Amino acid sequence: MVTVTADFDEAFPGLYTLAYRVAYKILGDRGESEDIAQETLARALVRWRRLADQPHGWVSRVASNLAIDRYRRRRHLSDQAASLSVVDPLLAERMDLADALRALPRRQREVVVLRYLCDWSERDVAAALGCTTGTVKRHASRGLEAMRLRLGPLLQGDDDARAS
Amino acid sequence: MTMLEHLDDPNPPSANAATRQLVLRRASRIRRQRTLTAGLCLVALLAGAVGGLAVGRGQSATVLTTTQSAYQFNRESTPLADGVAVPTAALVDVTFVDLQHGFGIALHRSKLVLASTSNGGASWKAVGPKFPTGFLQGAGFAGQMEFSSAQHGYLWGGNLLSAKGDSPLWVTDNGGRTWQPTALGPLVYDVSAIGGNVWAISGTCRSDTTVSNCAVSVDISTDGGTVWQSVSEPAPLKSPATMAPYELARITLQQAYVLAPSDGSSPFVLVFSTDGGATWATRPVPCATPFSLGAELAASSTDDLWLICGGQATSGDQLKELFRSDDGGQTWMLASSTTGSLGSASDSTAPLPASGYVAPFSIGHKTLAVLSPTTAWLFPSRGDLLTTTDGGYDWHAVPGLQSAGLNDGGAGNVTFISATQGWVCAYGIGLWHTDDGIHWSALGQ
Repeated sequence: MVTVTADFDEAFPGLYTLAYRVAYKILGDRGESEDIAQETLARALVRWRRLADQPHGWVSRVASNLAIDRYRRRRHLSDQAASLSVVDPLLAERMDLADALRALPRRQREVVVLRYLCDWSERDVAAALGCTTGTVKRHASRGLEAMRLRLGPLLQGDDDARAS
Repeated sequence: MTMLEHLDDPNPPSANAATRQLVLRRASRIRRQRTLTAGLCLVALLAGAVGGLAVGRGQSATVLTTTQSAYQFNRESTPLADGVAVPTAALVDVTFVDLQHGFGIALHRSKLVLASTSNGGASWKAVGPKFPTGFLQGAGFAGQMEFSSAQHGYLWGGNLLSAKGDSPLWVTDNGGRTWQPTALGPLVYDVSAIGGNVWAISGTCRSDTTVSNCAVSVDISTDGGTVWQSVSEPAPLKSPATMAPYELARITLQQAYVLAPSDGSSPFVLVFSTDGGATWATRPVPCATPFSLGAELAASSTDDLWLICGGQATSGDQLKELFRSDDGGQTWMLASSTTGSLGSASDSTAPLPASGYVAPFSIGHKTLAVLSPTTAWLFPSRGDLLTTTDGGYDWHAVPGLQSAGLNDGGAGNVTFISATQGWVCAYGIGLWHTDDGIHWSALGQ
């Protein structure tokens, strides 16, 4: 049996939403995103004693990793299942996003996921990852620049908003 | 609007008590797997130390047996040597030509390997160095195989495509040690052999072409796959832009059904021939929204058809409907269906459980085995092995296999060679056999 502590129960709704949101942005599929959110939280619970202080960075990273893995496997599948499923008009953007995230170093990806996919403030990201806002700014800036090369118009016009 | 907000789910689900329960169950499974892995590592270390003391340095005996776990199997170096023992837990697909001889597709370090058994599935050995290039797997699913004897067999991609956009057919005459490509294709959708008489559904366009009306034909070989000839009157089949769920169900040498995609009012069309492919007639297919994403056909006799229609799927559940026809597809009757919403626990009482995926999410694996007008087995991916004895009106899971965790496994299949002799396998879990059509016993464990 896995021991469930009160602080896990308390953090559960927020972490689940975080993992789901990250996965959905990449995959655009409700069922798969729920599956990934559940898997992420299950893994988090197993190692909760080590994560309890700052679980958000870990959860966002694992959820994005799982979503990107799922996305990569999808690519190897025939187009059949996808073409028969509900058509996602944003599929191309999600594919670009997954590719761009996959190319980022681990820490940059954590920052970018929390900052831009989850729309957290720099201060919140710094608190979640246990680093300074300066570090967050640096990783966010480099990550954003790397992603801009791939995503282009998707990230245009947001510089001002992000600079706040 | 903030950056990337347009990619969000407008109505995200909330984390409720049911979700929490699912997470706890998964966490328990992870914990069990970790404990098991740690135990196995400890045993392996102790065995290695004892073995090292016993035989001295420089000795490295192969310790793998059919009873090993898939995890240990994956520690074996690549490529696998011919004859290496393959654990039943590594099998993703099995087929049998008689009570003793069978073949399996196994997963080793994300590569597919062919395995064979000559003792009814009790032990398995790797055959040949590897599958031919182009025989693919995707997301845990393998292509398809069929053997008409212990030596002669067929291998095709099903609806998985190679990087070149093709999906060929290969033939072996030496039990899978070597494979020869046929001239069919470049797309081969489905194959069915009765002795040396083989039928295939093939398409003339690669999947990446934009031509919408490529020819799809039924081809026949009477010499085990060497010489092929298209049927004299083309079957009324349309070619889709991508690989599609064509399914060939042969009843006799002369009689066959083909379930195919359609651009008409129904997403599928059923065509059949009673004269060896000389002429074809069309029958309606009852799969309708929301059960119209995929379909799978099985038959127990000339007129007894079973059709399972698959809809949207999520979190291991899928909407499904089962139709029956006792007049060769002229009329259909709904036998059972899933009820309620996906993911709801109450669905476990439905006549047809929602858990598990069938077409199109079973990706080429046939999940339905029909033995008679009353008895059939259904093994949807990520679901339990289900059986019915009343013609498909009520389905229930096999209790012994349920406790074995069959629904926790990866890809797998169920196959029968008679009304009572059958096998079911699930990757990561193992292989079971029944010799009375009721009780199942684990093999290789």
